[in-house]
Amino acid sequence: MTNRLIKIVIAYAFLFSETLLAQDYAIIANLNLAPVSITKSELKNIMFGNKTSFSGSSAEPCLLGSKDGNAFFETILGVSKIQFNQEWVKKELTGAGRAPKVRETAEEVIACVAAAKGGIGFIPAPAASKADGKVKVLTLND
Amino acid sequence: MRPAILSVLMLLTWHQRTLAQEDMKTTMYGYINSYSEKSENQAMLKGAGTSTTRGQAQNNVAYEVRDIHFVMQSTLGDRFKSFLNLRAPGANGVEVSNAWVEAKLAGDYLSFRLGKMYRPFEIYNEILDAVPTYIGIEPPELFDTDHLMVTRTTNMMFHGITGAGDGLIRYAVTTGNDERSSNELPVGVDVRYIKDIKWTFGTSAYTSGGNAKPINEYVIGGGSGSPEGGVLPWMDSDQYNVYGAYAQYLDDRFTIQASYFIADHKAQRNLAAVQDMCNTASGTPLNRRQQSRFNCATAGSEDVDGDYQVKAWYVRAGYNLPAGNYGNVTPYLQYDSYTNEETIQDEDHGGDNEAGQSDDGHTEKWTAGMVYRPLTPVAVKADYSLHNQDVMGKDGSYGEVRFSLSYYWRM
Repeated sequence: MTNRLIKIVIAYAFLFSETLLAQDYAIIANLNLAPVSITKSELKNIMFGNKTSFSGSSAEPCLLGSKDGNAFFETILGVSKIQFNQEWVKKELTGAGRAPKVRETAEEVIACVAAAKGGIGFIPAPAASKADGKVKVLTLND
Repeated sequence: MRPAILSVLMLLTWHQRTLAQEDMKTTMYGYINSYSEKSENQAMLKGAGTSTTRGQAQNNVAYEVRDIHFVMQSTLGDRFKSFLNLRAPGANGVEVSNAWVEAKLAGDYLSFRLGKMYRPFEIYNEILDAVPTYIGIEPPELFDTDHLMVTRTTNMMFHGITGAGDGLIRYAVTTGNDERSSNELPVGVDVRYIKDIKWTFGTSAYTSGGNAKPINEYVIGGGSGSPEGGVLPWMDSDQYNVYGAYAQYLDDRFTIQASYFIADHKAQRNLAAVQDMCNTASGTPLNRRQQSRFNCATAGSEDVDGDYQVKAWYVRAGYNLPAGNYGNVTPYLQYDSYTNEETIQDEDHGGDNEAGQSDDGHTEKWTAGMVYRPLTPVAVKADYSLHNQDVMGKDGSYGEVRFSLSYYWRM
């Protein structure tokens, strides 16, 4: 009985983690920016405001604020969304930068990235087809 | 004359166009931090000078709006920035915590900042205003307003960030009026390595660059209040250095911080101040160690050689528990250790009522608490601290309960 219970728990945990891992994101950037790829640490530093320029332009991150964007913070930035926001409150209260813009839908994030010369953001991978011609999709390298 | 006027007009027109083309953005933020505390009755030194005895203080519940902050940040393109941080401590009066302008000289690598600013120093000096964001209610002993190790603010800074492997190195060099006596050059340095946001390792150092003097000088009979930097009010001069290291780990669950700092002081006390403290009629409570350090027993030959050392270190850990739609809860534990051989108990004279009443100048504090954040801008904090120190040969431990509710807003 105990073994069966353990198997069920492990299977559930595996299923749950698969769901999280399957949540994939496309990193999008303004068409004016030259790079076709970005490293994970470069992306983190831009999102946390430690790096304020990207490919010679002032980096202007746009975030997806809806629930569809939650896993991005944990799987790619390595912090919870709440902690991410807290880090930005710290930065704003010390003059270290201004928090990224937040948009509620993938379409709005695409428009936000397209409008800023140094625009960079993320959207759920399935929504990347909506980005055709408006923004470019960057390859995310480790 | 006319060509000169024309040139000026053309230059002004060009300047106006440039300004219009540049992207000026201004954002306003602020927060309110309400606070309440209740200490158990605490052992205290009573009396004055060599006639000091052990007594007890009655502590009542204290309520206060500890801080109201109004913050404004403005950027002009990606090269210029200005920052204003107004504070109303205790909701009484307004003071300028920060007011500076900054220009980027070489991208992220080098910026120049001038005005009044918090110096980058250790984990907390710059972020101490951001109360809703960190674990704990009280600042680390290093930045306790009763006994700062160094001034929190300074006036000029060169700083920047550069890549280092997978991480970043952030560096800053500061100088300013600080507590200098005349032409000294006080210098502060902070270098920190940040890897993947999760790891931060840093070191900070400060030198007074020669003689420093107290910002709040000793007032005979009391009233100087707490020192605004590392120099105690009863010093005539003080050459001092502060140095130490810190580390932080942060992920979606854990926050772990540790820090260790030392301050070495080569100081000369003010004779009149020492004589006033030692005065058995009008002086301030002094334990045996302090009476001996000041040589109170020999009137007229009080000791003005005030060399001493301060040590402050802490470990803080919090664990973030998501509570679904109800926000998140972060239980935390903290240990603070502080040793100051020179300070006295009386805060009105610039002392500290923990290390200053301790027999050996050492005090430690264990804290357990919790932060509940229903939403990012709101933090409800509650904690309990146990202060440990020996007062006149007996255990002087006491507990303290604190509650804080803070709200951050943004326009």
